[in-house]
Amino acid sequence: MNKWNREQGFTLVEAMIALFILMVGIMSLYTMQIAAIQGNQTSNRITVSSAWAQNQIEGLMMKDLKELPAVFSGPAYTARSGAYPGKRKAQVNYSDGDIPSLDRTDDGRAFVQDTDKNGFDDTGVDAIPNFGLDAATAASADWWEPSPDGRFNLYYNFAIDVPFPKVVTVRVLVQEVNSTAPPAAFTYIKDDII
Amino acid sequence: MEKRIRNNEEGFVLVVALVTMVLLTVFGIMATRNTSIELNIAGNEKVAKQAFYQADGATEASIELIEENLGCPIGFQSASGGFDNNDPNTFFSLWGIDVFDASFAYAETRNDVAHDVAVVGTSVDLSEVPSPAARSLRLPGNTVNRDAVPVTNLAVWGPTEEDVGSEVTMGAGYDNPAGIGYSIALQIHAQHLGLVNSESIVQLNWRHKITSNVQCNY
Repeated sequence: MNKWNREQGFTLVEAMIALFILMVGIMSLYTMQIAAIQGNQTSNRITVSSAWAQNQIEGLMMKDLKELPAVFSGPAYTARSGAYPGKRKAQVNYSDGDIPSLDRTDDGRAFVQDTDKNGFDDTGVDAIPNFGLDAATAASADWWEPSPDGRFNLYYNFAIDVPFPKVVTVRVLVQEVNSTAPPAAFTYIKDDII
Repeated sequence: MEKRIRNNEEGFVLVVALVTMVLLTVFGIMATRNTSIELNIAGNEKVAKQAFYQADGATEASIELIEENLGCPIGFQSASGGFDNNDPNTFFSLWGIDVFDASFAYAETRNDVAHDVAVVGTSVDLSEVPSPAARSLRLPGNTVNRDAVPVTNLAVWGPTEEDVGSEVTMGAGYDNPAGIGYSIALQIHAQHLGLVNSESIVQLNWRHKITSNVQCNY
């Protein structure tokens, strides 16, 4: 009887040790679960943002190149008058002389960002690299709108005469609202034939 | 005897705790593994889509270039000569596009793939066109090394064909403004090589009705 009682005490200690081990283990597994959930959220963001970018590119594909300037005069664009009036920064005016150029709907300034005509934006021409294609803020993008679900902002950038005259390089960047994650950037080239 | 059995049950709680831990760890590892696979899927899907739209856009750029250049009797005016051998290391740059074949879209009756996209004299496997070794055009995306990824390779070739239902006389001897009789059936193949070994190939046919109203701008 005496011996049995002593073993009860062992069981209590044992139970406490087991509880402690379980607690430590569950806490580490908790962080594991948090990491897994965050990873799932990240992959969800990547999937949904690239789907939005795809959607916008397909929509632009459908439009005639001549219709594209209409995009610039949309409500989201006219509401924004800031550091970039018109789509000046989107311009590369290669068209000097005999090669007819696209109709331009901006304030008419010629702005050549690739003076050596190698297809890449010359550094030092302005402070905006890569023909402004990577602009992903409301103030710097050529046009932007929130996605219909409100989760993302969709930024459009148009580089006229890039990589050669009479074509337009289009880049759509999809950035999650209030997120510092890099945007999904989809690039397409439009011509004025199809 | 009964006492010994009782003694053996002393580790029961610890065993249950450890088994539970093992189970939870297995579930946790499964969740983490699932997450990392999902991340890979999402990332791969994104770069695949990006590469596709780059390649598709390159075909549009190529169509523009064909239409701008179809009227040139000997190919690109801008070429100073010596660019008709499709040597993968010899090209001239037309703004942001590198031309390896100066006779590109030259309105002549031929369907000589090897002549248009590869080094003259080499045999070309159509399933491997375009590639960095067999291409008519290149759209570089890397400012440092024009051949490093991201880069788009384009191959364009095709014969002049008599249209179905037309007569030979309709094409010959006319200043043919209505575009009757003949067309050039061009094949446009674009290959985009993107980041993380992504690759996308878009192939399409572009039929140009031959008229006297063709351009020669480059």
